[in-house]
Amino acid sequence: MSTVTTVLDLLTIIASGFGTLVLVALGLAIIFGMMGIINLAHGEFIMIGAYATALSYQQGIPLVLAIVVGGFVTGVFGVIVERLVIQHLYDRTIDSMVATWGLSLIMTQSVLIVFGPTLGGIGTPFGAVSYGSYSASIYQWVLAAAAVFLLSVVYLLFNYTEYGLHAKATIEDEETARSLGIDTDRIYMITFFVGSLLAGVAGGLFAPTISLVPSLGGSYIIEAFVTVIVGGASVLVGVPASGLALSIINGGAAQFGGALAGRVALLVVAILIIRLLPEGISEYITEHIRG
Amino acid sequence: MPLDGKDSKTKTNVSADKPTTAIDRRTAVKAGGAAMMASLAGCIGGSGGGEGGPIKVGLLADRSGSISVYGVPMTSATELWQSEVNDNGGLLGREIELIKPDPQSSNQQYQNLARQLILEDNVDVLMGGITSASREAIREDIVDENQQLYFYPALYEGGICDEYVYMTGPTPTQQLRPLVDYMMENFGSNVYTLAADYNFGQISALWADRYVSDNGGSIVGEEFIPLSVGDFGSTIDRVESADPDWIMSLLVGNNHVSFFSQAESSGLQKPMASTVQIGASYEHKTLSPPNLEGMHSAWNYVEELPTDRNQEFVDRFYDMFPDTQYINQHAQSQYISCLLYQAAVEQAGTTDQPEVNKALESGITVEAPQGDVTVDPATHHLNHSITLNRVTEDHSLEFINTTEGVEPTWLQERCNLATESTWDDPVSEFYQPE
Repeated sequence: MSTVTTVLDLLTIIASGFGTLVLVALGLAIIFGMMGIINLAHGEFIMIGAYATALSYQQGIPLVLAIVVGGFVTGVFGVIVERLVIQHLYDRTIDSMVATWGLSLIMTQSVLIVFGPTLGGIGTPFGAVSYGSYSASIYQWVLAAAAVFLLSVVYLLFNYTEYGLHAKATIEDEETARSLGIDTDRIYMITFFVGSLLAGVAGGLFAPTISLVPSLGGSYIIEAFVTVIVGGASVLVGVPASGLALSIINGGAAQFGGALAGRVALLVVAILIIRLLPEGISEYITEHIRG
Repeated sequence: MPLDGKDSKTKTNVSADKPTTAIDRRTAVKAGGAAMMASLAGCIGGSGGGEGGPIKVGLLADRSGSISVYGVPMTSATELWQSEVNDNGGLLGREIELIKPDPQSSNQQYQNLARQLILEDNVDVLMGGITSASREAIREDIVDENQQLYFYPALYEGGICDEYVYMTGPTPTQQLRPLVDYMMENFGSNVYTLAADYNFGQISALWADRYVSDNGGSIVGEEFIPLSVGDFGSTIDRVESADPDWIMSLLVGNNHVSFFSQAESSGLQKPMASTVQIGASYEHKTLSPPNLEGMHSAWNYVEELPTDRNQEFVDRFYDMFPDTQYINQHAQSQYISCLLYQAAVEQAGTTDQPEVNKALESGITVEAPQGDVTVDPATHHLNHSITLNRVTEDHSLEFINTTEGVEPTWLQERCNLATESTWDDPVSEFYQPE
């Protein structure tokens, strides 16, 4: 095999890993980073997005639109959850873990009861591209592109809208923000909506590559938390930085030592980063850029 | 060489699967209380376990949690049998009472509930268990300890030799031989094995490798994949660079199912063979066509099995449970467990467990949906007929051939329960391939 195809191949794997990690982590990072809520039901939010997407797709809605529907269904579901449960748990991080964990069990079992153990899948679109003796799924690159796109949307949302300004003010100093007339309650609700919506869109994007079962969220939750914790407090710096770092390590190790080696390398590096940079990569980056 | 170091890994010690079962004080008190209750009940005139009243069947099948995909149809199969027996006047004129607590995909629950079924409910027969870990959680410490007749319906890695236990699912040695023969004859001798990285996957892969080498083939690559991995980009690359004639899939669980859609969308088009896919979690129904086209699998049972007897069974099943998604191997083998128990009780004329065990060991045969099956008295496994099928482009199954009466030969060389073990002086072993 030539060097070009090997490099191209490694790039594909890193891009695909980057896409997956950013997509699973983005919604969680917003909810955790901005609201201090540790949402252990995040995987199940992804599952809701995947199910809503698949069900819409089976009704004849085009895939792209179905993913948008999946995102909005999950967002609205998130708002309902926020109003009923989460809003009582702000500043109660540990309680929020217990409540959302319970929520995840309820969601998994409810979906099992309503839709049964599995749901028919969606075929992966776009097909494959071959180079040399290798071939790769184009959809893996689509996932990476979607991750970059969503990161840009979140960047614009928090830097160029009134909501973004108010949200940042609320995180900085809730009391002052409230006394200046910002409805912080509403800001939290919208933030939870945005985080849930992003989880739903991620689920919709994953739907064509996985088999749809009620427990599918469980396979994302660890990767999501590792990415968020390695990334650190700042969502827009931390998530892409840690997504990239972890996917390079995971992809590189998997390429040479197999899937098990990839998984081991990812977790070992995550532990090292947390040990050496307790505030996450984003803290290190912002400190060194700002001097 | 890909086989390096594998032997040491495949000697997976059983204890890894076996949770600690130190009986804590509370359980001891509970068990004592239960025993007292049971003896009280005995004084009053005997409910369960006696000769009057209903026959109590205890079923452990997960209806919630991650492995409910197997537990739900197993429960349905048992309820179907129960209603069929009860509608026909019962068994020995007695009603079947089904006690089916939900172990919730938790091995801890398996232990609690098995104790409860045996000690408090005093069941006449215990059935169920899905993962090998759940079976091993209860087999030695609870089933053997209490001399409880127990039927286990799932396909598993093979090797159990236990006086009180009957295995009604197939083992890899039974499924693999016809499958490997066919694949090597039709596609070639270079094989790439992908297996789940735990007891079942490791042992199945070892068997697959042996049959391939025995047939003069070679394993050009092998990878054991942790159950939590769902991204197969690097795996697909390695398969492509090894360029095998076909792929042996021993992948397990929902994360691993993603391999097939990722392989298809990456343009990896190789014939595949499996003893895990299709018959257990019906991937040909849950993945969208043509992801699984060219998958060959070997099963004692699939819902589509084209016989009249099976068609009648499928009709009865869907009449009673219209929401069933697929009648999988687990459901049908569970139904076989019920039929075997029924036949043995009828032959023994009693539900007395040693007598029922003797009847089963007489080499009893029942008319199962998959075809007639016979108990192998030596190993307490079944002689299965194994049918090969191929997934077509629209994900229907094309049947290739059937091998009748495939015996658990490897275990037969080591295990002879019929002559070397009795109810009161039992043998209980778990043999692992070396």
